[in-house]
Amino acid sequence: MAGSEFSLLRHFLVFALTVFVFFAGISLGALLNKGQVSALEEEISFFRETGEAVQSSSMMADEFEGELGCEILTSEIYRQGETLDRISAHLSEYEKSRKFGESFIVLKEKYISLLARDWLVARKALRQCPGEEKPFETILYFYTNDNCPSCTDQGVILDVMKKKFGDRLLIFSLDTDIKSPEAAALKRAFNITEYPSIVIGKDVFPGFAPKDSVEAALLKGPSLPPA
Amino acid sequence: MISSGTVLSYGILASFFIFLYCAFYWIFIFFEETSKKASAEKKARDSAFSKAPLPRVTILIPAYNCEGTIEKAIDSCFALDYPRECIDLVVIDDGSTDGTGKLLEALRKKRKFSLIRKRNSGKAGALNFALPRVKTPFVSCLDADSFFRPGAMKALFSEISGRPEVAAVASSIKVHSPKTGIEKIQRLEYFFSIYLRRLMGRINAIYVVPGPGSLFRTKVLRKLGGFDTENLTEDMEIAFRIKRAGYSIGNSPDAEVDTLAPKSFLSLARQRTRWYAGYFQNVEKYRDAILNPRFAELGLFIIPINFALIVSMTVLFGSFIFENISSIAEFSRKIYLTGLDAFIFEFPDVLNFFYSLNVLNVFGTMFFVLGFFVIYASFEMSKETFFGRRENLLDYVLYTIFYFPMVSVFYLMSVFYYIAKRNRGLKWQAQNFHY
Repeated sequence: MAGSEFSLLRHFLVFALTVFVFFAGISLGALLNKGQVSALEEEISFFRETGEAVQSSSMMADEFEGELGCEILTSEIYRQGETLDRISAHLSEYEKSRKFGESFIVLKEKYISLLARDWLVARKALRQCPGEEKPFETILYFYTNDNCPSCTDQGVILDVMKKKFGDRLLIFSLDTDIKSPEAAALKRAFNITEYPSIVIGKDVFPGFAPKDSVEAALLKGPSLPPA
Repeated sequence: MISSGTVLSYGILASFFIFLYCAFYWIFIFFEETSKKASAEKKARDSAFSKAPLPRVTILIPAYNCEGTIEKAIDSCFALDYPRECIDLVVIDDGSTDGTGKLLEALRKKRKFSLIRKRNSGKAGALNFALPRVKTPFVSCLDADSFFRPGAMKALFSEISGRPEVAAVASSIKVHSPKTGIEKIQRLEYFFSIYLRRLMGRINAIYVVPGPGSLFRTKVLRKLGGFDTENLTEDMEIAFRIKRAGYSIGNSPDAEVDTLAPKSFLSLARQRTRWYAGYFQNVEKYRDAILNPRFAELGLFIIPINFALIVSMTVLFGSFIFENISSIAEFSRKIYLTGLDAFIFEFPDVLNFFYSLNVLNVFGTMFFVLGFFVIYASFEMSKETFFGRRENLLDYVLYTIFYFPMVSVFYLMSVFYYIAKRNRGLKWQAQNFHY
């Protein structure tokens, strides 16, 4: 006899245990995913609340014209910018490591709507607080995840710009794959027809914008204070 | 249309399933092997062996250009805890071109052993040349770069004595004084092999009788026509032939043999390409064993699952490489796009790590824990203490990080090597070295 008996029972038990542990692993993964989505939900709801504080500051700046109102508004916008950067990094990290489901898409719709609101407040603040130095500059970044290598390149450049200018630069990244009425309205307003496209202040840069153009546009007009 | 990313994700999950199945399979066998019943069986075998007279054995050492190790190999035979009169030592100088021949002549003046000189024909040829001269019922083979530990021969006999169905016994091989990182990784790998071979012994599925130290019934070896001189791994080929002839192969965890392991990545790559291509050569030669109930677990499970494991390992390693190449490519692109600004450093946000975790990390953690159990068990079965040496933990980390990628590369190399050589219809070269 070439070998001892083949144990079907042993293989059955091993198979049962493997299936159990394998699905336990998958379930743990799903649980982890759920935890991440609810943590993102909390972050976005915090983002909404801090955005409301920015809106109040904007109203205050309307009421008390001059340095006092602007100081409060600018500091609130910087704070909101920090939250924005953090959430944006977390969303991007989450998106990189998995295929996302329906709950995440709903979350992202909310996020994009908040981005549009905050962009409007930031733009209004720049009008309310004119001066020799711009307290910050805004970039609206329209991109798609659907086969767009230039969008990845644009993202890299904006990431580096963010590191360079710090909280003086507010980047609002709008994922155009997500159906959002606010993003659609901004697209129409700036006549965006291709991706990537960026809007620095109110100047539109259709297609990929190299680092030098972005940097030059950011330094145009009233200068940005150093980071 | 299913994207390549989706196919890869399913491939990775399927690989995890296969790895989990194998891990649990061997854990089941581990508990069978360490059960009270198995201990009682072993005790009974040892007790029967201790009462029986010790059989005579011929130790064959094929030697080719091994002047640095042959003396130690011969000395290890003389240091065996086995009656000297029961051992015939035969060294075959297989046409060495260095000082091995002269050294052997000099050693013969100090030690009593037979020396056969012949033209070089490779290890299998050298063993076959000496086989007709063996006058003992058992023959043991020892590579010239390997050294028996004193209790090895008795331990080998304890597994064959009184069991006529067992035609050969494999030993427990350990790496001799590992110093380089590559040797240290192999040290753990060899412990793992001791663990695996012992478990394979439990299900009668051993398919290699390693050259560094083994024991055969002379009659069976002669009946089977000796070793195959055109095989890349003659020690595996003879094991398959023994199994096909209806015999079993035993394993002696107590028969310890030290062997020199490749010191550098290149020499390891050379050795493993030969070993793994030898595996393919033998599986092709003995393809009738695949899914053959006569070969029980070996034919129905071990050989098929080995192929699944090779594919799984390649998928996992491939995705690992892809990820790393993508990261390198991304960073290169970043430098191209932004120049020196690409190097602006920012402290990473700890929460980013939390958001980057996914199901793959869950399985990764599972395998790390299972791997630790296996390595711990391997140490125990190799009579080593894992926590007794601080470096073991570091070696385990080295092993975990580098071993599987390395083995995947070697498997790929051996597949190409095997296919290329096979398609050219070339004869397989006789092997001179243990590695």
